[in-house]
Amino acid sequence: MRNRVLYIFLIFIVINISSCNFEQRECSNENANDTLLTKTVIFPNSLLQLEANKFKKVDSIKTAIDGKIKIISIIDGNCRKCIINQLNSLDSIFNNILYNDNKLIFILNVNKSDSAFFMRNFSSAINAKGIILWDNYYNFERENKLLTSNINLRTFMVNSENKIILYGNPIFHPKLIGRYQEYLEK
Amino acid sequence: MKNIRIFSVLLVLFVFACKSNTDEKSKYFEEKESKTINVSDKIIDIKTELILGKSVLYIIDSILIVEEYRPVDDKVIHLFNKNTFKYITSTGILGKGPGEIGRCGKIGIDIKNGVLWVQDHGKRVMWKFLLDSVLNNEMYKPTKKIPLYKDLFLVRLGILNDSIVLGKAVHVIDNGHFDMHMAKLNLNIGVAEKYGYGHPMAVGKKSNSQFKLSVENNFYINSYAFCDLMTICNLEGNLKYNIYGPDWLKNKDNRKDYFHQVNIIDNYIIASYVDGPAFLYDKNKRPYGNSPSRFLIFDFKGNYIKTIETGHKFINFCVDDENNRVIMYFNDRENPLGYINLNID
Repeated sequence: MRNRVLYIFLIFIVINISSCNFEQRECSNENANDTLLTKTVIFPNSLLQLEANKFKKVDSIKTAIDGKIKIISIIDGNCRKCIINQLNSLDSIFNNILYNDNKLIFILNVNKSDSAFFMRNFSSAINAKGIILWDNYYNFERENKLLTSNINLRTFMVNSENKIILYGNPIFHPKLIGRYQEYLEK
Repeated sequence: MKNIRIFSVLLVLFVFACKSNTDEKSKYFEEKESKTINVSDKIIDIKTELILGKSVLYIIDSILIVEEYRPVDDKVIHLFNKNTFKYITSTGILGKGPGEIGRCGKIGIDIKNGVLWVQDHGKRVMWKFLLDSVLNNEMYKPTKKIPLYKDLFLVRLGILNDSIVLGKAVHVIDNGHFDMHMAKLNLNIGVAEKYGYGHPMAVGKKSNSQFKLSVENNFYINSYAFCDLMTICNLEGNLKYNIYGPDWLKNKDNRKDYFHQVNIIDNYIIASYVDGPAFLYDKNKRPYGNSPSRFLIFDFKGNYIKTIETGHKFINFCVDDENNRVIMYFNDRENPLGYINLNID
């Protein structure tokens, strides 16, 4: 009888410990995402502005975007689908809620080796009002330590001091558009 | 009473006959370390004067065709002497004008007539390139084309005769979905229709397979990416063999990748094989498709013979029968083109 009680007690302890661990792991994941909210982003000088199939130095738009609330989305430009379903769609969604003073910026990742292919095949598919900053070696993500496999963490809003205040991609989580709108109205 | 006995005996015989027939057509393989040959130190680089984007390789006569699906220049199809690898010419001008290619797909090689049927998914047509004209005129543009049949269009193909093409076709379900079927295309009227055996369990995404037609051996092969499976059928479309790997139907979430390309070398089937995750992540945490580093060799009855490990990831290969060479486009070598000399026996 005593043994049976001991066994039940041990099983109870094991279940309890494993459920505690599980909870802890969940929390640490959330914390990992929330570290985004402490970051201040910079725009490396290696970025180029892509406008009407021409490239300009990033300095040319820095004055126009400094001190403004910005929504930034990182897009991989290695497929037509990325341009149409990501860049164009996000541009359309965010332009409905942005005010005149806010800026929408796309960081467009295109590898050097794919750049000619991109300009020939995909650039004509871009249909966006937002500012497009060409990045040929993940410089924006590397310098800001934003490299992630989670596509949802590649879209965020920064305040006038370039601090991330909200993140998430409304294409995958449509309810987020309401939160972006709330922050912009504030 | 007597009738019942006879009926019972016949029923047993019938069931037994059916079972043995199915078993004869089902082959199972498992790779063996003792049958694995490493050829990583036997790869010979092919140094070309052109910079080539990711490419698909074909052989016609004495010519190696390198077709870029990520082109770096204005032309997408490059011809080399297959014996010396000396550059001959390029064709397939990219553009929107007449005879120009919008977006290049696979090529159907008609060896008998010296014709390349080049798919153009931009213009949704298949262009007829005459090899003689390509060799004589570097600004050659094809004039003949057939439309890609919109509901069922062949994406991997083999030329059966002057008017029929067999291959694996995309069947469009709706804007976001498709599955694949074996199909035959009539070149004269440009109409494709479903054709031949398809494994009943390889449906939906699992129906995606590579295709090789062998007219001289009277069969065609499908090698499946998301099933550990190859099928061999005769030219009437009837099943000869289903060749099952150890993971057959284990890959329920399609996260694993198995067969890529398939071809014929001597009297054997050569298939590139991954047996690993379908997607990997690079140092920038971006997903990319896995690619094979080894070949599995089977005889024409579907029996596993050996494994050939190249030690390098490659995305495409072709077989030069005359020189006993397997030519590959590598993912992870400085020179993307290279070959190995291969004698299976």
